[in-house]
Amino acid sequence: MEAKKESNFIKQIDFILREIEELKAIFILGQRVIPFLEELFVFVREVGPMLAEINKSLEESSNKIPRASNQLNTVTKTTEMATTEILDALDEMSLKFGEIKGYISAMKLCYQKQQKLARRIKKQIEKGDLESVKELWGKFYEVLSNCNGFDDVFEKLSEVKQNAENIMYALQFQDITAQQISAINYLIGSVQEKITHLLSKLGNTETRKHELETYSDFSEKSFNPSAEYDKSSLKQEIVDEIIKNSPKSLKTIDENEGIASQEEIDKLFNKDKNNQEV
Amino acid sequence: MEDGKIRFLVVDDSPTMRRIVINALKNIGYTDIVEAEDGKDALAKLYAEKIDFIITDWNMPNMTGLELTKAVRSDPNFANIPILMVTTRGMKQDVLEALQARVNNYIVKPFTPQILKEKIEQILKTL
Repeated sequence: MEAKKESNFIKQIDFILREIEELKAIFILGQRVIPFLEELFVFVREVGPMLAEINKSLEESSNKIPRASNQLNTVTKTTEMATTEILDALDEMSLKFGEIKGYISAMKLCYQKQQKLARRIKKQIEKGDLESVKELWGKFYEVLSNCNGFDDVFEKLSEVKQNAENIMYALQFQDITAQQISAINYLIGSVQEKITHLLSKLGNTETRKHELETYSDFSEKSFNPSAEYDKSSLKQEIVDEIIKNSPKSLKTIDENEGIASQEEIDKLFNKDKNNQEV
Repeated sequence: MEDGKIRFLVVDDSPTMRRIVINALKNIGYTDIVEAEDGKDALAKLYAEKIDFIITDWNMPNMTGLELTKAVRSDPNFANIPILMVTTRGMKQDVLEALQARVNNYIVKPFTPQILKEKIEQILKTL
């Protein structure tokens, strides 16, 4: 009986010791896990704003892509308009060159007739046949008075010159599309900048600095994103109207006055406030 | 402006635009023309030679046409030189800003040679 009691007691002690060992193992694990959990908390705390920033950047960037796409469409339209204009002018020129060629051919024929008659007149003068000379001179004069292609040639040449000038002025599209393309490059550059910034935040240290430098060449002040190839005179008319209605002090140069005051500008704004865009 | 001969300074960062403006000026009859590729270059040209008339673009690297206008107007040596702004900027605020900086007149690109002639003559009449 005594021996049985003792055996049970030893079993209980063993059990308690095992429990204590398990508890000890849990504590040891806890000691190892706690710093990891702390790190996890810090990470979650830090990653929140970062995710918000990524979201914002992606939103901004995705807004810029359609804008860049619209700008590219504008470039295509501008190029097409100007090219059509140039081709039209070239077609007209080609037609007029054909007409000029026709006039010159007729004039050449006329000149050859005159040459022929002049040779015959010379022969008759040498013969002393004044009657024939008189008759031939009449024919010569008739041919001469019908040779009047010079005025037509001059008129056509002046029209061709006008066409050439129209081509020259249509080429202003190059400056306009250059500004539109610079605006696109600027948008791409700013998206690239955002992405590089994000990558560097995420630990990607291989940021392509040289690419960013290339995009940073497009200074915002060197282009007008709203540049457009509008050949109607409407814009110029409205600009002229603004200048006409502007206070005298805004138009004249007076060394003592310096730059016009904001008050003067405001007055002008109030004058035609309904017209926000030219 | 000696003997009625006007020396123009054409300021534009686009060589094509400079060529177009110069061609238009020559067609009108003005042949004394100096070129500059931006506002800074234009200021250097102003200090180097006598200029009677400035035709400038607005959007340019280094120094814009507006900045050039302000610099010219604030320098007593050049303050009275007529300035004609030729630009793609057509917003009302742009025109007002240019007027505030004291440009003499304003042309919106693309322009016709007739408009350029008209504006130059208008400015010259007021001098």
